[in-house]
Amino acid sequence: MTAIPKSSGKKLGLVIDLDICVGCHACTTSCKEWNTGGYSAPLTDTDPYGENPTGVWFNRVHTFEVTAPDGSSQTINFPKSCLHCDDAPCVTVCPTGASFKRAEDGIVLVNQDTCIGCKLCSWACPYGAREYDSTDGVMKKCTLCVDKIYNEDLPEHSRVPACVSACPTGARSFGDLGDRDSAVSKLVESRGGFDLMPEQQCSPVNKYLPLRKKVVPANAATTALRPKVSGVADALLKWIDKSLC
Amino acid sequence: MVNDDGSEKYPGGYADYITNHMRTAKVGPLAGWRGEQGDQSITGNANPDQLARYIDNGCFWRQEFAPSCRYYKFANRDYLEFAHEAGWIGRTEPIVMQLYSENLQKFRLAGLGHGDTLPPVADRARLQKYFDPLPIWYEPFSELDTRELSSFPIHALSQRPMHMYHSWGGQNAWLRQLTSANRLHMHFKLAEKLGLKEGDWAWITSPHGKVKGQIACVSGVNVDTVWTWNAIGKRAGAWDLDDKAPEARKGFLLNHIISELLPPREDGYRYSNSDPVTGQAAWFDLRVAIEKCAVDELEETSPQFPSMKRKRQVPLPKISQFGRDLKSGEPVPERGVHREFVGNREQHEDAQLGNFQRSPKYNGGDD
Repeated sequence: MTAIPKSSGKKLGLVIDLDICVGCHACTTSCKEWNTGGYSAPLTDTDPYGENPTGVWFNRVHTFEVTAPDGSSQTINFPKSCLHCDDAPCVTVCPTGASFKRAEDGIVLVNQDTCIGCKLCSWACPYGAREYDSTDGVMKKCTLCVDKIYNEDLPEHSRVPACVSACPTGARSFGDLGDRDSAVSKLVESRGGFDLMPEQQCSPVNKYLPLRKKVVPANAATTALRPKVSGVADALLKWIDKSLC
Repeated sequence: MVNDDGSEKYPGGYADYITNHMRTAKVGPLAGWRGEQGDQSITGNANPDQLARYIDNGCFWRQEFAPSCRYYKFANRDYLEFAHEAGWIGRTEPIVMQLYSENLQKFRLAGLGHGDTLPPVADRARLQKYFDPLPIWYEPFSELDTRELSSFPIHALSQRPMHMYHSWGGQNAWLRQLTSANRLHMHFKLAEKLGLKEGDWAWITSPHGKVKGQIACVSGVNVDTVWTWNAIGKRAGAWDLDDKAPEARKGFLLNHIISELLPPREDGYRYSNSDPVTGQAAWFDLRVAIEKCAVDELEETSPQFPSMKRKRQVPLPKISQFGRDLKSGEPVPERGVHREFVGNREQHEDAQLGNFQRSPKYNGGDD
């Protein structure tokens, strides 16, 4: 149906650090704000003040817990948006050519003038990253803020996706993952960045950085709260301890 | 606020107030573009065009501290003089954090009967105990009654969702989609002990009352503590929401079961349920018992109150397409060119007073 073009080698994408993300949704609301006035505007909301409010979001954060075999558990905040795959099944499945991948930078977009709203792409995407706007009858998706990253009305440091601008913890990085020497490629290399669901063979451009392993000292329980001082300072701390009791 | 003759001091409402109010000479709510000509910063007389300047600049005004003001502010002469001149602090002397608070000791001495002005006899013991000049921990008042401890064995906490920190209103159509109903989070082990599972409805009871909510099972919480999102639950009709909104039907507030007053002391007087020194409400002292609802109980939060009367006469929109008018791609003259304010911390450098340093912290997105 629709062909993937020969890549120019440039692969713009995101690197998302699962170890840093706190799940605050600053990226999702910022994304919504930029994009509801951007390339795919509007990001329609239905029943916004009623019983079942839903709407189009290009970026969503899923929060869940995992429990290790030893019984310890961790909360994971998992931000998810289009991964701009090299082998994007959402593109090849499109019967009209509306869903396409740009040769010059690898961004996957939907042309809303030729989209017929058949939803084949959303069925083909293993990540559930496509967003159908039932009011407009067309498919919408993350544009990697294509109308922001090249926007010369903005100062150069603002030419990054809205989610990257907004993240208060620095959990999101943007750059050229096709360039092995770029800052994002080096970040992926040094932190063991990985593909989501590689078995789906989509070759996603976006990468995720894993949670760091928890390091618990063997004697943590007995030493954690003990001040490491002696002499005069020790006496002072003892006096404070006594006063606090 | 009124003038001496009783007339309204700020007839233009809040916009009038934040532009013209000065709590002391030349110090008002907004620091940017002060003075009649709008050419002064931080201090200066009111500027009638001040709000227009803020609007021109996307609501932001900024000025950076001189490098010599940026460290050890409590004892930094340049900073203290600057802050005094700005009206932020009353004196330029170094601000030393004191472990021993003489102010608290004065209260305690009054409680001990010293001084010319003495507190009522009935309150003196409390002053002696809690107005300690050194930092202390004291047992929560609600836990002093040991009978209640055994009847209400679980601590209950609430916290505000991160995404609601800059917009608390339930009328925000986007935030509603993230959280429109809250559940009571408890450890799997506690849920098992209470015979509860994910999604069950339960009564949460304190000595003050009871509220009905839905359970969520998690492992990342102390087994004797439960928690929920605050400020999600709302009375039907509040914020102009539909009566069937999840905020009113499923969302709940622990506020209903936190007493404003402590149990009466011997003479019947009831102290506020708050920290005696700071007055901070004792939200986190709440202790509860939790019991699964009977199978025939309505799956809806309780208590319920009559729907609030709506102010708006027009029906609520069923579809919101905020931003559709920006779709054309043509520049809209009155909106100006694309600008981004979030995360765009250095955009207004040229428009500002100058003389501040570029911060190496914000060099762009992909470093």
